[in-house]
Amino acid sequence: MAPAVQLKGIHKIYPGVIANDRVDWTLEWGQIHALLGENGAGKSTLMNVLYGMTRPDAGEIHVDGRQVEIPAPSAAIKLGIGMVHQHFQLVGPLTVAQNILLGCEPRLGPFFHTRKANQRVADLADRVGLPVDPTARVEQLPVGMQQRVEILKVLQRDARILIFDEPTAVLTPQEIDELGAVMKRLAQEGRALVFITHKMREVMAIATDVTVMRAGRVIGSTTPSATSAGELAAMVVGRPLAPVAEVPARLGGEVVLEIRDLHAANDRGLEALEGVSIDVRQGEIVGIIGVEGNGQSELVEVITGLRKASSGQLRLLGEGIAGATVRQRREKGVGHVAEDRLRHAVVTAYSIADNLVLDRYYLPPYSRNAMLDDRAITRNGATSLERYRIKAPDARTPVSSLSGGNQQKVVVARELDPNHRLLVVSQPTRGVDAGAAEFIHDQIRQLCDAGAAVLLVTNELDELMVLADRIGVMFHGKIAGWRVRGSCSREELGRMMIAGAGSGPLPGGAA
Amino acid sequence: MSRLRTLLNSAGAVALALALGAIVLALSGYDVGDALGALAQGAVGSVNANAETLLQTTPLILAALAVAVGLRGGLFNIGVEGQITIGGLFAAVVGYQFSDQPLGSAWRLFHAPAVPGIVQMVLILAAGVVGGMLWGGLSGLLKARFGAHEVITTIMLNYVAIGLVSYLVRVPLHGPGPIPQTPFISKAAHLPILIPDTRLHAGLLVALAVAVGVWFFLWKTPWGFAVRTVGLNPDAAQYAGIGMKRLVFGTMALSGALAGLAGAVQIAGVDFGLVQTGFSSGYGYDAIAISLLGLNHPLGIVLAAWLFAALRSGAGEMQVAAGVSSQIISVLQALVILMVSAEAGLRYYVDQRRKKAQTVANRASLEQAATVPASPPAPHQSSVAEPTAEGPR
Ligand SMILES: Nc1ncnc2c1ncn2[C@@H]1O[C@H](COP(=O)(O)OP(=O)(O)OP(=O)(O)O)[C@@H](O)[C@H]1O
Ligand SMILES: [Mg+2]
Repeated sequence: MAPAVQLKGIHKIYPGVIANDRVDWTLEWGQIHALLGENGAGKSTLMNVLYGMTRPDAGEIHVDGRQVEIPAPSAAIKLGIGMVHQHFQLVGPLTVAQNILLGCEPRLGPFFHTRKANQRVADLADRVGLPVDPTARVEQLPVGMQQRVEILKVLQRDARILIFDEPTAVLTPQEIDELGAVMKRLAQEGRALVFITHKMREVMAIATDVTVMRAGRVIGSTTPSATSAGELAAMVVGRPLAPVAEVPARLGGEVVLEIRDLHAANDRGLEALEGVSIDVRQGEIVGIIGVEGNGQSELVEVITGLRKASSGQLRLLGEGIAGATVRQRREKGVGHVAEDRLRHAVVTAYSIADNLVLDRYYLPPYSRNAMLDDRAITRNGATSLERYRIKAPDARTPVSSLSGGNQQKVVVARELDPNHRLLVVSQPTRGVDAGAAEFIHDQIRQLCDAGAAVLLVTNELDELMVLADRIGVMFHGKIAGWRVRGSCSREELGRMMIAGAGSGPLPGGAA
Repeated sequence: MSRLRTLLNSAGAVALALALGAIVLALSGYDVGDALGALAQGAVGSVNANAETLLQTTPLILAALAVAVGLRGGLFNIGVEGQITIGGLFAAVVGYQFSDQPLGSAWRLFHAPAVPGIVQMVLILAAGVVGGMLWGGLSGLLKARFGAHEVITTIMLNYVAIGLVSYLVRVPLHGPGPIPQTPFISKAAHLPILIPDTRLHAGLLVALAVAVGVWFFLWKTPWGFAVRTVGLNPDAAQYAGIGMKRLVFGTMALSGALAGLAGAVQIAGVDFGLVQTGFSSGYGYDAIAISLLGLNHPLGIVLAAWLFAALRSGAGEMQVAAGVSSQIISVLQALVILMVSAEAGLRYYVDQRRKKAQTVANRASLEQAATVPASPPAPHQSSVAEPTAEGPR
């Protein structure tokens, strides 16, 4: 049988970068083919070429043995290629069925035939084993469920080749397990799947084949059974990753952030925080985890000043800050890595250098005598560019042309500032490669050792287990329980996230 | 996408509009050559024609800068017309206090000592700035405090401004003589004439200086950085600690101040007193088109304002010499606006074509390279094109 996809000599040049350098790559039917590589290696570019979103400068695409031209996504869809985008392309106020059938709705005269549509979606969901409620409104679904709608949308168009670009970045551990099961089933039915990720654990658990890219080129292929997670990571990064040193959990010094009985509403006016109390001390990393929608996002927003608390106390170094503006908090030394970087943390039209001073542009040395000092801003940008290995021609490159992981590095470079006393860090390594994640973790630890207090909110158990000194599990707007690092397992935390049960003693936490 | 190409595209859009305008003229039964000749004659055909065009350019530059500052900050100020009117009102009222002529029934606010003309000019212009700032700032305040959309409030305030002025010049500010208008400002306060025997006054220099100032403000000061950040991504601005309410208010006040200055320049340079109606004659609306045509950039605005002024001042000649209805001019202006908006679509199409051509070219060069024993290319290679950060600077 002819391979599902054969790419021959795909070449793509962006100003200053060769994104794909004569890439040859084959995808067979029934594979779950993991595409690995550092940030900016060219994975998304290659898949965008296959999906018709980017025109290559040279190269051939063969689908099912025939050479084809894919000038636009519509052509890709006709060839049975589907893409599950990292940023979902769903219409929030519409129902699941309406979203899935958008563009090929069953009609009753001029109207949407709701009953027939719901039936059709239910049948489809049944057939592929992805249960959904066709009548639910998409905006009210958790992220994992929304992703399922995206997958169904692709399958509805009879896609036999499915591309998943970093699908797990926004998911919780449980949702990742579910997605893995779904992907395996789709592959068993004979489809071909591409899976981009930075997590070796996921590759080992889900993929059947692996291709590693670096600097636009394919540098090797293997299978998970023929290698190990460590070996793979080393292949991606180009050097062996240092094993994480086992540091005993730290106790921390004086209290930097003190939260008492905090209450706040979410965007829909419903109570999202129902009495949260946390102490974060100097020199310690407090981790918070929970299933999406249990109040973690709101907690971060209240601490950083983006959301108002309805009641409760918030003190920074003993000083009440509940009424302070975002800028006042930042000037008191609060840094914030936002979970949704494109929405909150960067201005994509600005250069890397400008984004790196987004919160401090008005202070010297970046502004002097009521004037911006472009030279100082650019110099600062160049320093961070090098330090964080942001892959870009120079600091004046607009952030919009960076790969996803490199955008994240810009945000992290700005917020992990040695002058900050409190770091509120949400999903700090979302979308960055293993090497960069290691570097970011080191930075967080170093700042912490130097006296910063860190509140780490993440969906990633692995990150939490290596970084956090104490771990609080959020459930229904409260901290359901605390664990000390080293004295709990992934499974235990997973159970607490789902059930909220197991409220143990509160080591070091506020009563 | 290079800045130069954007500029060329805008020029192309204008040329296309003129060509379509010619067709409209022909279809309406006019002699196209005569009509366009008269248009050119009226716009740039003599020293006086040039002076008249530049005279009209002046308020258009200032008004379009007002629109641009708003748009850069994510605010759509449609109330420039009203802010010009209020600016003119403040300028006229302050200005006539210094007049040595009888004031009729108009209010005297203070007894002005005989101050030098230059001081009067500065005070008049400052009064206009304050008036526009208040009017624009009011919309800003309504948005910052109550979330009222600026498009609605600025349009409403246009009507309020025009109604208010119409009442004031008829009753409490009615100068001597039968015509409802304010008393004139004193001769000493007139802005100096730049070219003898024309009406072109120093307001043009003021407008050009302000254009440079706006450019400097937006791209070289921390406040300008904040304004642009809010305009590009309000969520990120808030996250970075920029005070949104203060900024919305400040941006609208600044935008209004620029519009108010346009009104004051008209008082001190052209009209010398405020008449009941038709004071601004639509500058505030043309300003929106000019700002868009000029890509919300001061340099583009200066060029686009000149173009609109040329169309305005050529219209008279076209009407007189070629007998063309002045409405055809409105059609021409509408065509320019239409073409500029269509240009975005066109640009997309051209980009697609260019990408295809590029692909073919790259493919050819690659095949050529393949015949030669290929040396492995460097992992990242700096190539010629320098990516532009965030639009024109
Ligand atoms: N639209 C663009 N304009 C300019 N350069 C681009 C553009 N898109 C991608 N690039 C560059 O091409 C290179 C490859 O980017 P790509 O998005 O394919 O990386 P990636 O492997 O998906 O990385 P990540 O893991 O961070 O998502 C990067 O150096 C990036 O800066
Ligand atoms: Mg990518």
